[in-house]
Parts: sequence; C-alpha cells; structure tokens
Amino acid sequence: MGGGAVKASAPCIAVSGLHRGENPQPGAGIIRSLRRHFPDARIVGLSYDVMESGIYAEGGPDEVHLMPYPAAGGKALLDRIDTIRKRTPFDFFIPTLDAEIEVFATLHHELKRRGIAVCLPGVEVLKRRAKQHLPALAALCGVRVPETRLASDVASASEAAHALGYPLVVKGPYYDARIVHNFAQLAAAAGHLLSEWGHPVILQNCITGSEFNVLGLGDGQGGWLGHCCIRKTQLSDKGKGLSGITVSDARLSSLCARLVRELQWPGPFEIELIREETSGDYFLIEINPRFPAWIDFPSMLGANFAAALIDILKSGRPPGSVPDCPPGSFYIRHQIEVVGNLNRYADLLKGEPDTLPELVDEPWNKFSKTKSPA
Amino acid sequence: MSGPKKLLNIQLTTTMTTILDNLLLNDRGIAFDPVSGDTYRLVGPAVHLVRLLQKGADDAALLQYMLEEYEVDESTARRDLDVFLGTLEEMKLWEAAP
Repeated sequence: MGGGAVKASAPCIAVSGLHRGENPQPGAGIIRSLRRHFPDARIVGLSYDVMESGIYAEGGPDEVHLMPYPAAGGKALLDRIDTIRKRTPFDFFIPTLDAEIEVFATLHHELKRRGIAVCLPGVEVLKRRAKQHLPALAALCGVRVPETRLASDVASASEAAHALGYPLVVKGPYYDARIVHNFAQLAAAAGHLLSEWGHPVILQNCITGSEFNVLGLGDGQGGWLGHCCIRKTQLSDKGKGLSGITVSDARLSSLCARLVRELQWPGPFEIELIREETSGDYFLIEINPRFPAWIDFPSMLGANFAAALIDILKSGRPPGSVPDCPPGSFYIRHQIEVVGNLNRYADLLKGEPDTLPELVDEPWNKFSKTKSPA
Repeated sequence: MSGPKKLLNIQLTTTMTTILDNLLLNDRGIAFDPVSGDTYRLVGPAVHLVRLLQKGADDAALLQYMLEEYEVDESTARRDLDVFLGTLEEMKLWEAAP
C-alpha cells in the first residue's frame, strides 16, 4: 500500500514515538485516538528504531519509515521527511518525543513551506517550560515548585545537595530522574546523567505525596480547548504511571490554566505535579510539550484530544471544546506481545518503506544462523 | 471508644468535611473523592450512613437508622456508630469544628 491508497477526503497524518514497552511513548495511543475519529485516515509512522513495538501492532500505522536521530540536526530530519513525502505526501505531523520537538520547533517555517501542518510552540516558549527554567515560570504564575538547584558537574552537584539536604531528586535536562539519599548515590546519578544528557543536572527537594498529571490542548492565545486531570494510582519502578484515575479539582485546573495562559501555549501539553501529603499543596514538577502516553484514555471517555488537534490544523481555528472527562474513571496499562516479521524488519533496516503486516512466509529454520533482531 | 457519652461528644465537637460532602458513592459500596482521587470501600451500613451524613442527618437520625434497619439494641448501635464516626475522623473525613 502506498500513498495512492489515501482517500481524497481522508487526512494523511505522520506520527512518531511508536514504542509501547516499559517506558511507553505517546505515538501508539495517538494513532488509536485518530483511528477512532478518522477511520479512513492514513497513518504514517516515523520511527527512530526498528524495534519500536508500535510498528508491529495491530491497528498501528499503515506504513512506517525510519528517521535519523534528532541529534543529526534539522537538515537531516527535513531531508528524510522530503524523501518520505515523495512516496506518501502526509499533510499533518504530530511529533511526540521531547528531543525531536526541540529540533522541529526550529523548523516551523520549513515544515509550513512544505505544506505540513504541525502545532508546535516557539523556541522561546519551549525554553520557558524547560526543567531548569520552571522555577521562574512558576513564580510568575503563583505555583509552587520544589526548591531547585542546577549543577554542571559532580562537585557543584555536591554543593547544591549540601544546601538542599537529602533525600533529593536528580534529573537530566530531558529525561530520567533518580532519588538519592547520600553523596555516593548523588555522584553516581549526576555522573550518569551528565554523560547521558549533558548539563545541567537539576537537583530538587523530594516532595512526598500523590502524583497528578494534566493533559490538554492549548489554543495558542492563553486558553485551552480542554484538559483532563488524573491521579496516578500505580507507579512502575521508573515512576511511570501504570494506572490512573480521572479527578476534578478546581484548584488543580486553575493552577494549570494559569501556566497555559502565561505561556500562551499552542497545542498538546502534559503538566506533572505532586500534591504534598502534609500541606495538600500542588508542586509543579514538569511541563511536557506533547501528549502523554495515556492520551488514548480520555479519548475512550469521549475526549479525543488527538482528533481535536487535527481538526485545529485542518481548519486553522479552534473547533468546539473537548468535553470534560467525568471523575472516577480509571485506566490500567495492559501490555501484550506483538508479532514481528523479519521481512518488515529487513525492509526498515534497508530504508525501504514498511507497509501493512504480511504473513510470515519464511520458516524460522531458514533464519537459524542469523542473529536475533534484538 | 464506646458508650453514648462519647458519641454525644463526637456529635457536638465534630463536623463533616468538604471531602465527605463531595464523595461520590455507588450502591456497591465504593466511595470516590473526585478531588484527591482517593477511593474508599464501605461495608455494611456505612454506605447509608455516609449518604445520611451528606444529607445533613444528625446523630439521632443516624442512630434511628441503625435501630430500624438492623436487629440491634441501642447500646450496641451507639457503640458501632461511635466506631464508625471515629474511623471517619481518623481518615480526616470528619473533623473538629472550627
């Protein structure tokens, strides 16, 4: 199936972040939401790794193309997009990974010139919600944040820890967070984060309480088309929400609305907070410039944020509001196995466009002397 | 905690919190706090007692409900009610009046 299979009226949408493993990415959930609202849509998966599980999932993308890593830079990403669009000229793009959004935010005009509709914040707005700049933003909005220090090496991290006291949370600028209880743990964590993600590392006081996440869609003018609040009810070892339940707290909504208004945020966002057990106050932990992995949960409750985003991009103006999610509905993350196919795997590695699943027509014993794809 | 005196004391010095007032209840014994996301399991007469509290029932009405619905003498009913209200207080659903 190629680009010719796209119906004239059906949107052709590129989505990245297809992996649904232990630390799931948002793309597969976005695709499910889109298919619920646009059953005829053609979905083009943009993948950074042939082992992203969503490539092989039932109901996943209609075709998949490998992308260069965002670190390769804007030109490499645009060149690859141009090549892919010669085959399948997608009109919409929903980037879902923090690292790629940093790059694509600088390419707004290039994407627009190509006729690709995408909803991204400007570089300055993106910077204001970066972890190291959150305290300044929070102060403007009257929102509490954990006491925060930045460090560019292990020695300055040690000084910051001395001022903050243990235990504390050490974070990389993009991903990863670890709780440390002493200098030895701090040195190991900070060293790892600095080598993996670069500086600064962010050190914060530990706030004890329940975690709340709020997803929404900003209208770019200080308002939003809707939002959905959940409390995480089960966490994985990495702190990822294995289950969550919808809540309705006017104080929480108002706090998030102030942040969105201050940033005049355009498009998808996820705000992460902790409600301190002792004071009941919310502490802002993070603002992600994208939909979260649980994006399809509100969609199943009738609040389809991914579809609303495409509606905005199609019409150039906000459609009606996204409905509120009633409190008391919960999700549980449910992992299953998906079947891969070595033909598809090989095509992707060769840079050939991957297409809908085919039946495995090669007996496994023919591959007995090859290395496992893993 | 037992006896009618203690129960009377609770009645006079405590009040329903906003949390209890806002709890969403179903008939299967699950109560949900829509603000915090906390979930409670209510057993036996607790569902009806919480519903009565949300409607503003006083101690006499709660006791009357217990006596009418359950084959229990007044002393036992008061003791059970006392334990129930004490549990609510521990869970911060029922707190000292300002």
